[in-house]
Amino acid sequence: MSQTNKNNSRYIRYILLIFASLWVLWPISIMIEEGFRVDIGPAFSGRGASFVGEFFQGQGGIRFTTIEYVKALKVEAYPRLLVNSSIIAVSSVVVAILAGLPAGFTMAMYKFRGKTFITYALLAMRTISPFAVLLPFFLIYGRLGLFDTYQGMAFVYLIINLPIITMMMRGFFKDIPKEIFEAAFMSGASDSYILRKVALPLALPGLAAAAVFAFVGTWNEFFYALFLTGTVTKTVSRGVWSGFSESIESFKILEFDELNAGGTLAIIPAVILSLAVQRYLARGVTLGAAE
Amino acid sequence: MTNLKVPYIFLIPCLVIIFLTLVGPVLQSFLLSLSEFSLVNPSQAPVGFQNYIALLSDSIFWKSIQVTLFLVFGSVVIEFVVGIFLALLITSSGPRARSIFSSIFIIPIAIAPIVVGILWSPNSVFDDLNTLLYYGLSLGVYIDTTRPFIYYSLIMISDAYIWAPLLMLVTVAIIRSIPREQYEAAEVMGASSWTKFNKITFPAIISSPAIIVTLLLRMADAFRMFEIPYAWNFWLGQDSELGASVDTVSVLMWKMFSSTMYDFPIAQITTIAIVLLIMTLSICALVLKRSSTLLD
Repeated sequence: MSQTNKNNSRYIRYILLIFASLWVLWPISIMIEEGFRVDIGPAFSGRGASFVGEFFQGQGGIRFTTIEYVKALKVEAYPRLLVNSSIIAVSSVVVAILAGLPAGFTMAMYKFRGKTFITYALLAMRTISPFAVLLPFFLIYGRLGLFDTYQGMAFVYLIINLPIITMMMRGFFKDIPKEIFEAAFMSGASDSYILRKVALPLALPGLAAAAVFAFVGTWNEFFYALFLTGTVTKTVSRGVWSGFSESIESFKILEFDELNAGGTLAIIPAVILSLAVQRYLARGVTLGAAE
Repeated sequence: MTNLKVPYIFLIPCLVIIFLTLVGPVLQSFLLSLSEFSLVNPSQAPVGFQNYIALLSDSIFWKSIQVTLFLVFGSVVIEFVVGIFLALLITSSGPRARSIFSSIFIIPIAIAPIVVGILWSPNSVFDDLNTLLYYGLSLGVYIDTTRPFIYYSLIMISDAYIWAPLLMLVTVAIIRSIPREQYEAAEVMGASSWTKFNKITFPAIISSPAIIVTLLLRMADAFRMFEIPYAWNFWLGQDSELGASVDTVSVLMWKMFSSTMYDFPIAQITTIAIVLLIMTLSICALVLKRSSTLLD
């Protein structure tokens, strides 16, 4: 192969990489711009237009303003919703760790009857259509007064968090060389001692990654929040659609600028956290099935 | 370490949560689907499988099943193709470019699906593109997002936007595990890049249990697809119409649940939910069977 040929294929690869990055970043950048009420369409033509169906709506234009972001942060209750989302996600993830860490350890170390059942149940929790469990939750929460409470929401989100924590931790424990555990077991240490003193310190970065991944999953969840939160526990991802005020107006259609500013504010924490754990994303999404 | 005593006590909290959040609610959903329970009829007495029989002849349900299957098929195919394309780009780049661009490509996994419904809405990407086409280039054409072909494609693209990076990550791992000698041997024989892809890389990808399991899980996820078609219901102004053109099964259940027109028909909704559940549970069984790592 000649040198020019090699160079050419390198240029083509860079062009393709840049196009692929545009596919990812272009919609996001438009969302951020629209949140600032900037419409770059007119730059192409000197006039802005919106094409909805057959109607040309003359709108758009470059009229930079931070008003949508200021409104979400100062006038409306974005900080409050952020606290709600965080309380719910953190408490749910903590409970999931308390239950999932020992279970993941056992599943990594032992073969036992019922292992297939637990794995299958966790896969089912990962893929279940929320409606298959939502209505019983709806009826029971109404009766127990758990509707629109932090503990109620944290409990529902165990459906998302328990499979992630258990199966990711199972994977991280399996990654630890077997000899380390064999030595510990030979010396007669108990399971809980090995989990606390041997396995957990080695799998601590993994635990952090699993917790962050589960947090992002809960943060992004929209469906359960749509049905089970109210004015007290409204989460950010529900607020994206119905506005960041504390009130619940499910069918309020927001201005497009407002929606985009809301979307931008909602994805910032999730994107930062996910980039921090990007090595483990595939393990998190597939529960370690695709390795 | 099969000879040692299994610490079953370690499994109890996990099992308790599985029963309280999954098994119990699913059983109650199943019981509700056998009753006539609704807002106007609070009786939970079982009436047999009549809801299921009624569902079989419900044209709106079948339409939503068709829409769902169509969207599942389309989005999984797009994800697979785009995922392989991104993986090939990543694996053929140098280490610096690889780490920068793979960080960029995985960003969409972190974005909430409801936000992706906004990202690919008719007013965002296509306003600029259409302005460019219509005024900028004076072509006199624009992409009309109210046409079924366009909006179905956009829903599939939105889903692929989130999940193609996952397929990329899995495919990159598979490509890395292909022995280098295979490529070297092919180069010695003068094989072109396309031949190498066609004869070595693609067969390795397609025969890997990891990719099959990932595609199965994506299918299971796509069956319950909710947020993106939910957003599109509003973009197309179809949110009050039962059986609208973008109603997936989940959106149909949401409409039955939230509309004041239908007496809150819990029994019917749970019937559909159980049918959907059977589909996802069968996919999960396949995942368990095909995965080489889940049960070892």
